[in-house]
Amino acid sequence: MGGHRRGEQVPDERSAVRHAVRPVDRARPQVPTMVTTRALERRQLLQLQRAAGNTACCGLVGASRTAREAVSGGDEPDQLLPEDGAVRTHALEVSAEFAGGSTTPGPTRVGTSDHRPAPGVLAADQAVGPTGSPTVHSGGGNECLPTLPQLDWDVQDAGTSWRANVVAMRVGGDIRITAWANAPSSMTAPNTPNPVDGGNINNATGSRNRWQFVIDDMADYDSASGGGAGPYWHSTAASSAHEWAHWNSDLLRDAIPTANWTGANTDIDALTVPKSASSDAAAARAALQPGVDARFSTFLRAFATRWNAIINGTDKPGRGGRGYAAGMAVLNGHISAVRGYASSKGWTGGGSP
Amino acid sequence: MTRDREAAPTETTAELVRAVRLAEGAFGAADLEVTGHVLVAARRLSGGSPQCSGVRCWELVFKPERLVPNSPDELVGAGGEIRFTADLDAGEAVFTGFGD
Ligand SMILES: [Zn+2]
Repeated sequence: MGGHRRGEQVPDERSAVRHAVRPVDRARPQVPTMVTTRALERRQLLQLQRAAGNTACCGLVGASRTAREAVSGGDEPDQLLPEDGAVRTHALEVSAEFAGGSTTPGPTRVGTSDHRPAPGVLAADQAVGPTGSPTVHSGGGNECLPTLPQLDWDVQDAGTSWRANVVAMRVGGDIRITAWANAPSSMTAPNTPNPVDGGNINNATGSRNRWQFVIDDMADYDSASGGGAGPYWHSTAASSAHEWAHWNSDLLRDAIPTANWTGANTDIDALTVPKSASSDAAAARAALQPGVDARFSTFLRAFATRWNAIINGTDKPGRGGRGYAAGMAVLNGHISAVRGYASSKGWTGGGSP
Repeated sequence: MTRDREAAPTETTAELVRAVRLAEGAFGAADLEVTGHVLVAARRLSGGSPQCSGVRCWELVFKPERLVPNSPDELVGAGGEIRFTADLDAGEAVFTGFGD
């Protein structure tokens, strides 16, 4: 199995669970309920924006759900988001739908005018964010493999015609996170650094536990020469951060908006058939199906192209990938701790054993 | 017009094939399974590397087959890489780390 040594210890899922925030599959609310929900969402988002200093999601909920803002560079650090599950869920959905979206402004369909849409039109008019989450596995390597998104749609009565309406765009897949060896009090390697007295870092010449060797092995993680995890020093937290960056940043914040999901949603919602041609909703669905399939397939191709370009182009050490950046951020914490410990001991020198 | 445009094997061909065979042979020493993995990248480290005694030195990256798409419309899986450096002069390959 990729990245999984035979006989490795049973993985510790704690770090994976900590990141496994699952966006809630929300059934489309009825209009009266929706107003309340959206007002609540707006308040939560405004609080969130203030806390995170994040302007990328400003003014989206309750104002113009089709307004889009270009990526202003980089991902907002997840630790800036509150730990509260409900708020986090909103943040993920908003990020997925808008942050990093098309740089082409879309039509603003919900404005400040006193326009009152006909029954059924309001619901069909809303953009739908991706819902769903990956299945997280312990062991079997460190991987992120999404499945192609799936579309749920229904037919709505739009007066003299039937209208297609996107209900959900579901994402799923598998994340595998394998525990890195972690023997905090043992002078062995591979291992996870524990730079404390009685820990697993020393200053012994020729030892793979020697502090500078430990630092060097982690420091090259995101470098083109000799990069990647280990072979001796790494951490499960770094692997977890790496895989979740693929999901949260590469998938939700990049591949889906770059493939113009919002546009696909808009286009599908605009598909209609006259009632004169389709006597009931079932007949209308059959008539609308080819158009819906065609537009969603176009989105899926763009999505696959973008995801594959991200992974093939950047998911290598030293290539600027978000997974490696996230993992490196965790490893930098380990490196600082090891260096601080060595400094406190007055240790100098000591690279490769 | 010939259908087969393959050139005759060259020294490069021979080196790469040998590097792959050395790397595949090194899976076991690293306590890893070669079955189910495919080569996804090969690079000659023309300046050598700390793992090589000379400059006939290759970096090879393998990936689980299930993460490699069968068509352009399928998704590549992130991660799963297993890296080796093959030292042709020494006739050995060493495991240098995992991807992701
Ligand atoms: Zn990766």
